[in-house]
Amino acid sequence: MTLIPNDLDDDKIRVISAHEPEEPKRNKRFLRVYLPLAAAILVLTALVVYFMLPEDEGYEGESKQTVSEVVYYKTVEQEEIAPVLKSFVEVVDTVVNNRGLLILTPENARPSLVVGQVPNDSSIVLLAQAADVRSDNGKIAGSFVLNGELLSKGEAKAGFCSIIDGELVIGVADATPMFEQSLTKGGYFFRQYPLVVGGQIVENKPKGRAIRKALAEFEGKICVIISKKALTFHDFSQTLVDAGVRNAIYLVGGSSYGEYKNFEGESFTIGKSWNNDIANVNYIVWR
Amino acid sequence: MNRRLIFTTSTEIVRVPPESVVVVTADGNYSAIKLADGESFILTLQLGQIERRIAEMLDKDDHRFIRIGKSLIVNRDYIAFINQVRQKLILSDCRSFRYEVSASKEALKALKELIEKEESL
Repeated sequence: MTLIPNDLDDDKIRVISAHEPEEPKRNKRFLRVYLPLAAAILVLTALVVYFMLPEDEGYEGESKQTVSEVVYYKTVEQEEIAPVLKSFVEVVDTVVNNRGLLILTPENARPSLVVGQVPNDSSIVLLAQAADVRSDNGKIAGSFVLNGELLSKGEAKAGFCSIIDGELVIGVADATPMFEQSLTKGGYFFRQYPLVVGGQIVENKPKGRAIRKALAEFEGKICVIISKKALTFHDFSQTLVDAGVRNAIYLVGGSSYGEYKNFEGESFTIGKSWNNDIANVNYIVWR
Repeated sequence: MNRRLIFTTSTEIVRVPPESVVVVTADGNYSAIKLADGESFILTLQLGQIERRIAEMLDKDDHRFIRIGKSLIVNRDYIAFINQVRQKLILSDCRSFRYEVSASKEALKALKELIEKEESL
């Protein structure tokens, strides 16, 4: 290991040179002080255990039996109780400050991202376009991770959504460890405009009006919220705040494609489906 | 140096000849390595870790890589233009690629002086 200071002041430069391997002082100290101490404690503990155990005859046997019983009952309990939960979308059609909103909350469904053609998968209960696709080069705007694979890189938008081990997190940060974790743990990650952070509006540059969609944290659940009419970013964010949304990032708006399935199993579509030639159109889906 | 620079993470390995590395930029907990052929790799390593790795693998007389501030490591062989007032640094082989990066005025001044001194301009 070479000894290079971790950080460097922004006003400084440093020529990187080869170093002779050198044992850090911390390691020497570890070998000299902590290792013998740990060994002494270990020996002492072993002696105490050796002399104490014979006084508790039968203890080991009882212990084994108890553990065995607990495991047995736990297994039976899981088999009896575990119900097959039906996945569906709870649909709320509401008006907040004279602005209509459709709130789609997936229940008992696991989120992920897909890229390309809309999957022909009957288990999908909610689908919405996620990250924008750049019109100049057809690539996904901002960092995008699909099942641990980096498909696109960039931080043009500070809002992010990560899905790691089935847990969906939305937030605002230029650099976030969730990105790294999505890469190392086979997760998902995309970036979008931030709309609401901690119940406060985030202003964004685009000023036009359009049908707006958001991935939002509402009443402790993650949902997709769609405006009924064309709104500015500001008005949409304000409406989300008024509705009680704590955190939200944007999803592709306008006539972007989406679909959902209600409790009765009826399917509904939103917007228009994309030409399959557009390879990087991407969706957040719940199954 | 005939060896390649090797950067490994839990899921990836990048093996590149040192002369092909143009610049390494920091981006929070990860770093982007840009190569002379236009390829770039994102690594889940901090810039300090990249710097240590380079130092471990370089020959003793190899001083081509320079750390600039918190967010850059550049290959001095590709430094084509420094403007400390406009805080601009252009890295190029003067044929096929051109990367423009920014650094503090003080760092660029120090870089300019270092190159002037070492190359006896």
